[in-house]
Amino acid sequence: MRNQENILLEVKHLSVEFNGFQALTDVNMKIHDGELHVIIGPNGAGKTTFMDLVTGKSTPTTGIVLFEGVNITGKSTTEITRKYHIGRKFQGPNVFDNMTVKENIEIAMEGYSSMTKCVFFHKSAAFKDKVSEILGLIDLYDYRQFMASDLSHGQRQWLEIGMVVAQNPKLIILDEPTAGMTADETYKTGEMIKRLKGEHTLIVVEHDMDFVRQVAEYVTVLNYGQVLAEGTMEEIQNNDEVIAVYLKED
Amino acid sequence: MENKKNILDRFKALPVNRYLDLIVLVFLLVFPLFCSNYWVYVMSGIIAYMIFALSLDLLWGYTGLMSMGHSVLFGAGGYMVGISCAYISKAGWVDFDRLPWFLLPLSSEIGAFLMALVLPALISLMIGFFMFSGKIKGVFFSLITLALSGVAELFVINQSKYTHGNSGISVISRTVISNSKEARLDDFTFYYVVLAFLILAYIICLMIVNSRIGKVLQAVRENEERLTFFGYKPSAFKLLIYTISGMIAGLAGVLYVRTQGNINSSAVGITLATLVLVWVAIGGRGNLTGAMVGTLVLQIAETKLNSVFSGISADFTQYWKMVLGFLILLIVFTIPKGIVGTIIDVQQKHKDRRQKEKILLREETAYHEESGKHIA
Ligand SMILES: Nc1ncnc2c1ncn2[C@@H]1O[C@H](COP(=O)(O)OP(=O)(O)OP(=O)(O)O)[C@@H](O)[C@H]1O
Ligand SMILES: [Mg+2]
Repeated sequence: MRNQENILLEVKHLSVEFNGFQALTDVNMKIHDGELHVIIGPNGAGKTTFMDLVTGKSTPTTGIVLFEGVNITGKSTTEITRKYHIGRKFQGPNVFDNMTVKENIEIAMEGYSSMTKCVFFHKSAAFKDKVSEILGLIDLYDYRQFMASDLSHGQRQWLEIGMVVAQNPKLIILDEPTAGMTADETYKTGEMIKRLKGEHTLIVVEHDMDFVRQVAEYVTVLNYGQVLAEGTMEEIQNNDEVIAVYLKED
Repeated sequence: MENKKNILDRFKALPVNRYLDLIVLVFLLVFPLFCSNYWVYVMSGIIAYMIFALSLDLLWGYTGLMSMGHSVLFGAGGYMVGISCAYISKAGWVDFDRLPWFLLPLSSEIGAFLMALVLPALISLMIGFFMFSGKIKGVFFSLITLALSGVAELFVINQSKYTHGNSGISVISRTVISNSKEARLDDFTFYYVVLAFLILAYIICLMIVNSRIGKVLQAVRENEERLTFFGYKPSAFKLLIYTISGMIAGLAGVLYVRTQGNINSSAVGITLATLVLVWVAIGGRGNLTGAMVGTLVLQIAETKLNSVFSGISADFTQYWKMVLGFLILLIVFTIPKGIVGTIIDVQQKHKDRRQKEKILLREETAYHEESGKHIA
């Protein structure tokens, strides 16, 4: 499955520096079409920074980001989202608080973000069905009229996952989707994410090792802004270096 | 029958504040029947202010852009009518024979009315373009608009050739478009004309905020950066609503000037800009109702108290303004969402809690049935 032909995202020699602090150093990574790629690493390893660079939130000091072979380094988030179809869930739920759950999903729906599309928008039956389907997927259908701020923490995480799914991106990036969830909720999230595989390529950042074992196919370990190791879950679990810096805490 | 029930259901699904809107409407409709001509006149002005407050609510309440100089757009509308009226009726102080090219439309009555809508829209389009493409946000947006209002006041006073400086301009009152004395309506009829404009403005605002554009604007208010990760360009939406808001503010300015029969530099100034912020803040932002109710309540209170206290002694007016100011501060601190905002909030929280109980109950019964089956 991992071969040269089906690379969706590739970063080459990616480095970034914030006022003298080297957050990422020469990171090379390939994400293959259709895979579920997990990134793990201790706090401050640069996982979120990596996502910022891929989604255009910040620009690298050196290095490039290639998406489907196109150089997207330095492009705006709006363009990266709209033209290249990369969707991102942030660390800690980042939703529209004083709006209902349903409105949140509707805002995120694919293909209606340009001004003209918004002006001539008409809520078709297909649109409503799609929204309901996503509400079902994230198990919030009964909560659709809730203010997002009235949801529990876990539900807010799901809402944001739902919003990213509504964007129908080719690449979904999830930053710590299970943070702050109960064990039950974490498991449920894992099943949700597995259902997304096949239709989307996914990058998932996570600390919870049980969860990683539940979903991961391929894992990259970051440490101090550098790639420490990469490989299948099995390889990573047996990698001495990884055990030393990361897995020993478990 | 089926249809009837459907309509009833839809009525029930309306948020509380839509019922408040209805009450306000009925109140305004019957008000002149029970009041003196003076109050009908006062109320016409208040209704014009309500339109003004609606325009600010679109911008501040829905989009989160707290303009502290919204009076610039209100006054720009008013001055178009004022200058046109002075020019056409050849007021004594007018010593220019022709208007500058960009004010040429003011030589016709209709042209002046259209300019009163277009110029404020253009001004906000320009201010918005510079601010939003320059990524000016939050408190900086507020401060710059505040400064603009101060500058506008000075500008209007300085351009006395066209604005008659501090003395302001007299305008034919109680018409909408015409500048002839014969076309003046009586207080009663004019009141309903202004009210009709309020209803029109309200319907336009309601359509905007309920549309997808309106939802995007709310999302801008909630989390502008997040929106770019869904492929939106927030600045385009901000520019659009600023322009529309400017146009509605301009309309309010025209109606207010036509009620008062004059306009002066205070129409573009900081005092009015602050007042409208207070009305919207007290009434509650982001639901249209609050803007209208806030204006109505505070302006009626001000007029009433003014007459009561000035009856006692002239000094007293100073005191009650302090009292009113204190009351306003108290409201802002105790209920930051404003009167209507708080009502809506309480209702939504209550609704969410009830729904949650229902869901939990259902899950529990489902669980018991499930385990019952296992035992059997
Ligand atoms: N915009 C920025 N300016 C300055 N420093 C930054 C910035 N963004 C990230 N950093 C620094 O870069 C380092 C990596 O941060 P990052 O958020 O990517 O870590 P992470 O792997 O996501 O950690 P966590 O598991 O805690 O989320 C941190 O030390 C952080 O302080
Ligand atoms: Mg992080």
